[in-house]
Amino acid sequence: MNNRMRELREAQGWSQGELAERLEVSRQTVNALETGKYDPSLPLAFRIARLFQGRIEDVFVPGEA
Amino acid sequence: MTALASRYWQSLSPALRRYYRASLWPSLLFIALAVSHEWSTHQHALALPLRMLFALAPVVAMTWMFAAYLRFLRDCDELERRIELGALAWAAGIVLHGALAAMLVLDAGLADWPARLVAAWLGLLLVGSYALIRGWLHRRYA
Repeated sequence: MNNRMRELREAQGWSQGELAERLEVSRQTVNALETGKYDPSLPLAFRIARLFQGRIEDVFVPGEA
Repeated sequence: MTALASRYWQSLSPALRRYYRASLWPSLLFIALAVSHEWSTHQHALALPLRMLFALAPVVAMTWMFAAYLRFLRDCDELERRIELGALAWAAGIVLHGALAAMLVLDAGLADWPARLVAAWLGLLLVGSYALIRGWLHRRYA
């Protein structure tokens, strides 16, 4: 699954550490999410979308099947 | 060196920092109780209940440490939990295979290892395989 997390975070001017604090996850988790190495659970995906004031599909884009 | 240690400490998640802090006292207690255990093995004049107490005392510290680890598992985020549970599952599987292999070799009379040695090696295998696989999983998601 692809996502726009890095783009949205940089638009807010946040570092990975700051985003991690806001989401209450580790910086490693933010990095793994941004690089697409890890897909979040549904509750975390909702938290991320809410933080960027959007919908889940505004942040996460299904990859090629 | 101090700056490097400080940077490493800051790179850890809050849950992992809490766990490391929480496991400091149980670790020190474990060392103290392990030393007293070793001392008691040479004290043949001690009463049996007292020898039993000294023999099993390090388990108490290990239980304290394990409780801290369980709190860490509860508090960590979902990726950390995936890494921890993955490492534990792999380590448990490896030790299960090791225990089975050791039992079969002993049962077939192919080796005459002391039980203490086998138990110690299985413990080391558990801790070692957990640490290696945890490190590998951290690199995979880094």
